[in-house]
Amino acid sequence: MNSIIEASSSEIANGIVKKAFSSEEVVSAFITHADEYESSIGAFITRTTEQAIEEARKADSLLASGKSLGPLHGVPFGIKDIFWEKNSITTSGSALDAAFVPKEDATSVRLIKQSGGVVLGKTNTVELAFDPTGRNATYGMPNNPWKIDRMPGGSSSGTGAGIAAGFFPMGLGSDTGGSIRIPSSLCGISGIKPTFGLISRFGITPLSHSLDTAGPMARTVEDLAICLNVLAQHDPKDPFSKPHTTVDYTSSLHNGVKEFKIGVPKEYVWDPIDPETASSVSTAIKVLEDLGAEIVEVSIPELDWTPLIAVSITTAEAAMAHRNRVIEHGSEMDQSVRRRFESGMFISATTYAHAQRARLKYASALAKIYEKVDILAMPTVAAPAPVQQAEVLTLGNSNIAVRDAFLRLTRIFNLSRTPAISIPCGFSAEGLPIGLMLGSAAFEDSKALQAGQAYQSVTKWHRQMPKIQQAQ
Amino acid sequence: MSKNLSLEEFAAWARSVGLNVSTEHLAILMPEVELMLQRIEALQQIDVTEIPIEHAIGGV
Repeated sequence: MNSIIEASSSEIANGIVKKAFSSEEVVSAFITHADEYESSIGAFITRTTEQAIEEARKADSLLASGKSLGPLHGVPFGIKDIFWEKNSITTSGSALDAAFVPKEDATSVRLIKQSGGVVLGKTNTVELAFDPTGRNATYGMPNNPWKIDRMPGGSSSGTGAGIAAGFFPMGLGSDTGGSIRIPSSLCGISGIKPTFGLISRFGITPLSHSLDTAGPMARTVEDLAICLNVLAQHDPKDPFSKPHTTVDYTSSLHNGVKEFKIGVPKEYVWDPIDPETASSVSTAIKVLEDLGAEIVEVSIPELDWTPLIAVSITTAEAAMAHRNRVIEHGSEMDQSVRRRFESGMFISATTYAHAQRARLKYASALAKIYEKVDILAMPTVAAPAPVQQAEVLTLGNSNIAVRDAFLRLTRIFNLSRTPAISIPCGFSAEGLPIGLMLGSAAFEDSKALQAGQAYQSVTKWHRQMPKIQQAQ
Repeated sequence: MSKNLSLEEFAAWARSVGLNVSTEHLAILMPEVELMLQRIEALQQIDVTEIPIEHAIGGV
């Protein structure tokens, strides 16, 4: 059973197709494992166990009759609970939505199911996805499987913790400022924030309409590419969904990095930073160099603008999206999240417009960098997972709020609307995962995946599994 | 935001944006709003004259 729990999605899918095991056996193995450890982790808000076993049996029957639904046939999934799932409660991490049952699937959930994915449940999320720590006043903060007193990162906290814990091999998250990549980094898994507009957001609770993205989280980069093939479809139901040429994200996956020029920013990224994180990421970049990539230092002074722009846009748009909820039901929300939404109501229209213009100017500067390099490489998060009560991190001579420390690097690629992946690249002395972030130009998601795959082809960090402590 | 804004003045501002909440809540909210607005003050120093506003707002 353990070999299934530790397998990647593609290995599981291949095993099902080759009848090494059935989807029901796979789904049952993950359910049994989650039964044992979920009380220590808290990855799920809703588990749909019986429905999953029923779907797995259907997948097995189809396969027995010679029909495969696609590359995810029979593979278990966890879905962040801001994605609508037809006839399943979708809380968005909020007590206010504890009984909300959507009448249809989010487009991405529909595509996962159409490709054979079996949903094991809806995973924990920060309320309305508006915090990077993983805290949730109603449903609790999931524990980090590597050390259960540590934050999992958020807002896709349950998907990140669930994959790391071995509750499912793949899942869906969303990323407005880092919400896929932060938990991926802190929990030691792989995740991609794709190009803005590549994956439909229809049926996903909005946070910041000009920055929200959805994407897969998994054990390996190969799994991310396979899932991106399923999810990257133009969707007229999402006005920001971009018509684009269909790309097979697996086709160039194994082409290596010998042709790649990898840029490493010299400003902003390396201070403040935890020394172990800096060391692991520098070593990972050296691995890519040893694989044949040319490493160059790049100067991007505009990175200094990113906190100003991100706070202005995200906070204002969050307030726009949830104004009525905050005004009418604010007292029923997590009060710290409530105040963050309320703060956005004090940002003027002219400040918001200025921030959007600055975002475009910043994105243009980054696009010029991508004319010179294929990949930008840097840490995903400036430090490994802190204790759950932490409010401030001390990094070198800097005291920095945990939220700011988490978002500082990831939002670089939200504001440019360009893709970025996070992959595991080492562990701290305390045994906590460290993440490497690789970005590429808009609609060149395959390049970031290709570089990540090259790294994972010669390293084993992504194959490590935590020994989960039982919660007291 | 004036650094010398009183809680009463902040309450009036809050009402003008649609927030009718308790004084206790406003007392917690006010320093967070002040901090956020102070943080983003430097945004105005980014010269955006070259970026047409219609490209930045409303476009997809």
